[in-house]
Amino acid sequence: MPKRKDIQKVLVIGSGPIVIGQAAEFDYAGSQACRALKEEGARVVLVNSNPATIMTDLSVADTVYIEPMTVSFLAYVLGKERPDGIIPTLGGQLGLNLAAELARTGILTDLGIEILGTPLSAIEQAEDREAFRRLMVHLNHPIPGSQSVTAVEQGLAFAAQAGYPLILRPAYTLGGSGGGFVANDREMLERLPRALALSPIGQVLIEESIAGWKEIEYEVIRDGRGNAISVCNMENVDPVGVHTGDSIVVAPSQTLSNQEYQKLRTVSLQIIDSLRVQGGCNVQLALNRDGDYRVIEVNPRVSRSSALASKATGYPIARIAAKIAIGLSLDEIPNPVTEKTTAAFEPALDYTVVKIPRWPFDKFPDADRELGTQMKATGEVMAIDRTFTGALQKAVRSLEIKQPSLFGAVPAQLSDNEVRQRAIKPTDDRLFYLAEYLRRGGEVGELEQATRIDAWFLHEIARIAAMDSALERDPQSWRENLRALKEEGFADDRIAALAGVEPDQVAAARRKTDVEPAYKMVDTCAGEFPARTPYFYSTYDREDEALALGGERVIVLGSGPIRIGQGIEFDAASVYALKALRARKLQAIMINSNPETVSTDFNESDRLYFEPLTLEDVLNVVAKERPIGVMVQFGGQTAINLAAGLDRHGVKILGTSLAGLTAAEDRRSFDAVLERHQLRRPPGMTATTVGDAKRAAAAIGFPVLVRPSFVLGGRAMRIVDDGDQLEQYLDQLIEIGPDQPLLVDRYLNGLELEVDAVSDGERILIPAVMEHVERAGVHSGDSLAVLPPRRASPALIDEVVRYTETLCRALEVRGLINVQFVAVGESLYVIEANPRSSRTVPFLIKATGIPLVDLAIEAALSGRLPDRYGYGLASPPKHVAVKMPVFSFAKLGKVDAALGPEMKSTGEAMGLDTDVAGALYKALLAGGFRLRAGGKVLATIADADKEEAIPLLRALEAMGYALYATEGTLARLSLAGVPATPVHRIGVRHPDIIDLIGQGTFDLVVDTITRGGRQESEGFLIRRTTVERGIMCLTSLDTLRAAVTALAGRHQKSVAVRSLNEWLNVDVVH
Amino acid sequence: MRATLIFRDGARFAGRLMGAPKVVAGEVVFNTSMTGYQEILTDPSYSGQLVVLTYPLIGNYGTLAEASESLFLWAEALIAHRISPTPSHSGDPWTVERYLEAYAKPGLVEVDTRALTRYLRQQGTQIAAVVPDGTPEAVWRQQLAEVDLKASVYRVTTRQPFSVPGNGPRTVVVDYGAKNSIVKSLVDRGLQVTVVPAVTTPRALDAIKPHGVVLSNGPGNPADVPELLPLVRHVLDRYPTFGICLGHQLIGLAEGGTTYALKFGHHGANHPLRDENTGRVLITAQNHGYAVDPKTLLDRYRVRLVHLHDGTVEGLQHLKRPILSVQHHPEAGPGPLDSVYLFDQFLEWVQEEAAHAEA
Repeated sequence: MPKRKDIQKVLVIGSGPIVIGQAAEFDYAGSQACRALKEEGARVVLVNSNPATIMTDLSVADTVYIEPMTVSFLAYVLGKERPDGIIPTLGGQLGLNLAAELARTGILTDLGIEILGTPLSAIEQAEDREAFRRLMVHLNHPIPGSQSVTAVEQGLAFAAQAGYPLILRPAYTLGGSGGGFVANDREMLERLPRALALSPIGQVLIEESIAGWKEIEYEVIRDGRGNAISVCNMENVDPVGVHTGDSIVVAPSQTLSNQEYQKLRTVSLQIIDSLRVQGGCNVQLALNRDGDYRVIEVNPRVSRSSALASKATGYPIARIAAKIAIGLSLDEIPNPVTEKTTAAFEPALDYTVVKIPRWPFDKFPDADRELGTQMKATGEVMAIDRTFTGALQKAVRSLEIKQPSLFGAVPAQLSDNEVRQRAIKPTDDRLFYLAEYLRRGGEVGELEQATRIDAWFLHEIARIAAMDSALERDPQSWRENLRALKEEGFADDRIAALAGVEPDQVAAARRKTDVEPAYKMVDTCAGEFPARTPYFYSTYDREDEALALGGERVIVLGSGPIRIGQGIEFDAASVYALKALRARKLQAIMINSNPETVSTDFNESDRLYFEPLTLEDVLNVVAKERPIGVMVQFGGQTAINLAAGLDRHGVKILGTSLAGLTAAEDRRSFDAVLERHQLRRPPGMTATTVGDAKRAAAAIGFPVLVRPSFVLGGRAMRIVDDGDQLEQYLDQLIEIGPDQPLLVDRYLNGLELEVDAVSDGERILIPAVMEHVERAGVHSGDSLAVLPPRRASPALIDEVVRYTETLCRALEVRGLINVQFVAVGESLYVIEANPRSSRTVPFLIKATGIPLVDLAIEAALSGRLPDRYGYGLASPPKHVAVKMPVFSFAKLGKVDAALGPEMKSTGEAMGLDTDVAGALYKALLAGGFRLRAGGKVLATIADADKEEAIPLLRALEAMGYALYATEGTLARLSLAGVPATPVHRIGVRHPDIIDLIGQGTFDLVVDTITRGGRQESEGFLIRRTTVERGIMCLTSLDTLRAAVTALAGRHQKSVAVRSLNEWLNVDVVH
Repeated sequence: MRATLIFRDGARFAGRLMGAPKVVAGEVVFNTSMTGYQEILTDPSYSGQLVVLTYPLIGNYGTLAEASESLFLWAEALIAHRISPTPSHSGDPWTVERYLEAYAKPGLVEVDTRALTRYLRQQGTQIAAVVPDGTPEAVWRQQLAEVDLKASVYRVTTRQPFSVPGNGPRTVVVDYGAKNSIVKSLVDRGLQVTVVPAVTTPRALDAIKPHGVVLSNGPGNPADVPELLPLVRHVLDRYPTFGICLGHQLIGLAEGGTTYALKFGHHGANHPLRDENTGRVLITAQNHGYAVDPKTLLDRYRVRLVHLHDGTVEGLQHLKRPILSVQHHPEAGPGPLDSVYLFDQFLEWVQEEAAHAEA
């Protein structure tokens, strides 16, 4: 079946902002698919509201729309572009839901647009629990006993019949939002209403518990002719009960016999055949020890698992799925790896892959760390090796949680019983307790009983635990056991720590005895055919097959797992860097450990090393590749943190020198730089002891901003109003000392401004100044940002430019720098400067069209910033761009939704329009803000904010929204003559404020906070209930003001739906 | 104990020895299947061969009573990267090491099997010996020189005929090294099965009054056993016939075709074929080093199944008569079951024949 001639223009729906459960994997899938479609001669239109993606780059699709992912905006785009078809299966659950709605409303039929690839009927059959159940019964495949319910009474009735424990699975939700186990009627009453509310169709499946069974996934693919293959199967180390996104996963399965493997493969293929899937599909199954199985669920689209499977096997699922969507069959698509065979085969692996999720609990110490059916991870790492233990330990050190090893993470003083308890309960760090328990001699059999983790995995861990403790008992033995230790994945750091030597001594001993990593290729065929994939992993085995690359080589360090504070933006910058290097005929080499992202697509670099981003692993690649230098400025703090070690080992850092990086990061030297150039910064001091910190605060004067130095995304950053609060903060802080200084700054309440600039140390280009909507005190990553600025005076902007230029010269920046400012009146202060790529770089590239990373590469390589875009501050664009942070609070129980100096957002959306109001409106909409005409707004305003809030609330009321308010706010509103409906405070009389929020009474909640943010406070409960109910909660009046501006503007002027090509005056090239 | 895999061309791959500490020599082939090591080891087609498994972690679920393809471990040696000392599965599995010991076969582990596979890919199938360190050179040199695979079929075939009782139509499996999965696939379809030795007289076969005959898989070069062809011709003339692997090659030769050696053969569980009857792609289990050249057969046979990687013939169907022969393994064991429906075609013929015979 050759490519369909009638499909010339295809619209791809992206997945919008990053939230937990829907992350960077869709950028990887989408950009791969866009390229595959273009290869087949189709014109590609892409819609995605997320600017931090590679798929929204104009080189990926022909036409890009950065617009809110809503039915109406998609309808505008479809009406304007008139594509022949749309592909809905690349944009995650959001993309599927949008396509389904577009079809339901008849828009697709009206415009004559076909859904390409997997038909909607298949998607609905797979997603609708009841339809799926009927299909499974028809196919004679067992599924857990279950019932779909739309009311709490039905749930209780089913429980009475089936018995507890049961699982709740809301229909059509991301990452299992609102799902979970219920053990009794009380829990059912507590959880089912919320689960029903979170399902867009108010339907929840209640299911028999198969907790403890093995959880197995098959990534399968089927074409329009009915050819179907299994790309990869994966086994969750954590048994059924922990969401697969939160599970440690291995590929291929390790403990399945051939019979079991084939049985589940056959089941998976039968299911996608019956669904008539045309593209990729994920099938989740449970397998009991006795061979009994259940089909858990089917996702007929690309997913996090398909991204993992693609990286694990080298088989590009999204790319093949896109080609299938336009009519090609598997045996007509060449295998991009071997170039000889076709896509119609099943990859054979000759290595083992381990994935470990990365959780945000380091940022949210109050969050509930227990893992269950609700996914909580923000990202993941993957590692490849020829032993499971090697891959596991590599994955552990890829996590960047300061653990070089599976062992040594648990305090020695913890009792065996405590260790055992924590080894059994699934949490983010249970792996380390399992390891420690086994290291202390815990029985595998007993642990298997308690955890239901297959004994094979536990035996493997126990085996290397014995090696670890043997080395501890006999430190001298490290030399003779070096090869064995390395084969099992022990890092030099761990060996050194146990042997009582320096890591460099271990490395030197390795080199001397020829215990060096060999690099082997990921080739989809276990070596059966010659392959040219530039995709390698290290292993301590004999033959190194990575042949020397010709030409000059440059290594780009990636940013590792996605976490709050270091998201997809850094991956996008890394990909831009690879592209810029290749454009300059250099061999661009990528090192990264993140399976979800575009940077680890082996087509993006000349060579990809899938390796942990630790000094040891990077130095090994450097030794192998002998590059002209390493780029550390694109991979976020991960890469920057490696700069000093690389420099110490004589590796050339391309771009800003280590001295420049350190001068910006080290508080004392940065202060010296500022002082020398007479740049202001908020008065501040560095404290290395608790006493120091108190004295510093007293000297500077409250309120102060406190934070540990060298951290990401403002972790443990607080605004502290008085001595008591400081005391409380210092009590909780673990890390303070000469190596972990605490920064104490005067908190200045003003206007925050931010720039990203590119420089060669002399010449500087600032593409734009971004102005934050929220006042200082809200982390810049959590602020709405507007470009060009609308409140800052021209004089202030001039100061921003002068400061930035001075800093670039002083730090001798060669490449990118991000500078954050606060302005109080007309006085400008520097908050921080980071000579590296930042969260806002991809946004700026999209907003201004200036290829910042390409310029940075030029500046870093040649030492001269080209003048293609001039120098100084670029002239502002004619349009307005707004960046809107997006949060995943609903996924993380017990995390306060209030904004503060610690970053909490997981993603961002962008709004583009001709004026501020329009751009704000689109950004808010894209970020999930919904306020229907006449919608109900609940206001509960802190005393200090009441005065300021009145005009905003008045404006809302005037626009026809219905105000609801608690006592104090209501009184103040009445006084001002603004009508509002009273709402009872908690516990006064039912229904109280919490009841009403829980019932979904309100469309928007405005709850401003009194600082100190104690969990038990009423505000915390209001905010939690709001976000868990899926309603937006604004905690800053600045955000509310922006929303009022946006809503008012919308009443006056229609929005402009234009492609990014049009905004940037870039022609659509075919 | 250390040991080395030594090739005739002098190439060496070092490892640790487990199982029987003895020198064994044979053809080295690699198999890329990620599961099913026990099925592979017990497949009689591997007689005379040293099997390299490309998946690096072998023995994770141990060995299980139900996973054997025959009553013996036929491969001469197992060469692997790692073998699990602590398997896990229901049914109290043995370790692969214990399994090797029980059948007195050596295993060579801690080998860079990927490097070895790349060597075999480039050099083609080669003869080599697993040599425990310290073995006098003359000993292993002699064994290397003496490797002779000509008689392989006779080593593995059943000595006596035996039957699996049942009430359905009668089928005979001519055992050149048949896998249990073949017999099971027939029994599962309600057929009564009699397994006969490779050397069976036409008269003895006729005496069973079969409604269909399966010519099984088996080891070695089909061109080495011309003495088996008369029986094959006898069967083709009289009975619905299903040839599998060596059986397929023997049909090709019996009908006047030729066979040729592949460079490194097809050994794995991920080989794509197209069934020209349906146009569908099938992922199949394969284990063969030779292929049929169909040129001189095309007046009577059509090529029904084609390998998508190299275009080799994977299945022939007679234009008029009920004869189907396939190069791959529709019975899987180990591998995917995509083409198991080919047994149903055979079943149909057998049922027709049985109905006809009754009438």
